[in-house]
Amino acid sequence: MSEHFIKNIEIKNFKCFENFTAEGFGRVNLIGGKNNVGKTAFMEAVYVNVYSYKSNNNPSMALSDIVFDRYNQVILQDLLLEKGKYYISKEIEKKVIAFNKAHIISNIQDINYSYKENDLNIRDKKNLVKYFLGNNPTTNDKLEESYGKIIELEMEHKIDELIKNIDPNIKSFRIINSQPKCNFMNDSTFFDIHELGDGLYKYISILFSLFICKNSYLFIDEIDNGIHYTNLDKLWEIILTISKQQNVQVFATTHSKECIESYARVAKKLEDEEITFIELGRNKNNDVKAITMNFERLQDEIQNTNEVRGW
Amino acid sequence: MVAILFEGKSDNEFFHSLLDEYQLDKTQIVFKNFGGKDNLFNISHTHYNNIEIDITAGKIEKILLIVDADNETDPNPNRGYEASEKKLQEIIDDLGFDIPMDYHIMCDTNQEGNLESFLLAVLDDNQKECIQKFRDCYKYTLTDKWAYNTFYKQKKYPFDFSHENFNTLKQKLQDLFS
Repeated sequence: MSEHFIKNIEIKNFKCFENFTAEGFGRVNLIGGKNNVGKTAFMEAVYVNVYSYKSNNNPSMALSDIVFDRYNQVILQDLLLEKGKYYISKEIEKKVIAFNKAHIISNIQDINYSYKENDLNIRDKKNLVKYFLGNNPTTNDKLEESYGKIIELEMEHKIDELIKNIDPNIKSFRIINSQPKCNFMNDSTFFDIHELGDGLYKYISILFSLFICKNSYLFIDEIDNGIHYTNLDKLWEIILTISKQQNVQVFATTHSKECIESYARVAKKLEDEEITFIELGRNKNNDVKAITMNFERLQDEIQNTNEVRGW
Repeated sequence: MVAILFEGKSDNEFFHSLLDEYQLDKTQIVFKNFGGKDNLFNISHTHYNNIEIDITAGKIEKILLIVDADNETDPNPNRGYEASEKKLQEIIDDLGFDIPMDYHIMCDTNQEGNLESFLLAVLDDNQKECIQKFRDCYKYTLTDKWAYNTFYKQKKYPFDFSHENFNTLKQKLQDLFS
């Protein structure tokens, strides 16, 4: 396991976590649990913890990212039209300040959060890239920025090959006039990928992020959203293979049993034991608790058809 | 949730059928297959470590252990109804889990044998007579496991689940959910 990988975490005073610990994380970590148990919040806490690792960035920027991501996009657009950008910035700042006293400790660093004025005005772009693919779709801007880096890495043909894994009819992917587009085997016309469905868009976002987050971290909320169950094995095969090649630690959430079964099946097929499944639930005192299952235990639970999606 | 701990694959299949029959919610049960009685009697087994983690997290709230009685004539000291029961009580004490734990021993009406003996014992008289005739006719000993697997396993449990021999087990399963 790489030195930068998070192996354990302690979360205090952050969202639904008053005094929470979890340990034994792997290179790829899938998180399951019932609604509102804190799956995304758990991932956000990890994101906040790693955000400033080996960089000058402050955690306020990470908190701002996750606050922004939780906004419903329609409400956000309405707010932008009605009240303007400054109002939204102030609202986000208020929410970020509310995280004062959050304390998130991992094996790599200790974040005892306290907001400082102007924290949200400076973003150091030279740091390690850590992507949080939230529930809202990735914007075209972000995808374009990612694709620029893919080209710098000379990986565009590799990306085309991998996209063909999901849809063999697709010939290539390009960003044309800031629009993500694909063309097909027997047709040179490029189509906007939004026309081809949310699943493909999500898949491409994950794929790009895996390459860009080399030696870093990737967070994917509701990973199977929009992905047809017949493509889940292909998706996991790509995530497990590329995360290993690129040395990326991945955290992802799901509600789906099919997604968890696919994850276990593909890990077994690839003999990749650097995986975990983190099941979240609440005890009698309503405190959130985690059970971290290693490769062996996850295989056993799946084989016995045990419920692992929370309790 | 509750946990059912058992020896092997055949127990797993049987309990899934039985729980369906009693309309008990299988999604609330964690099944732990220990792969043998001696593993189940080993408190250092990985399953017990995992169960302890689950109990601490508040996931598992009750446990039912299931073992075969086996036969006293077996040289292994933990074979036979009484020895199995003694060992189960010892295991429960040694584990020291702070949640209700119970056990059930699978056997025939003479407190001998295993899951298959239990199942053969609830067959109707004609079926029992038929198997007995087959056994009398055959020169060598035929185990209950062999008889059950040969004649009945493919029949998807052609048993009367309301038979009185099921009562104790049914009660223990219902107690898990109470």
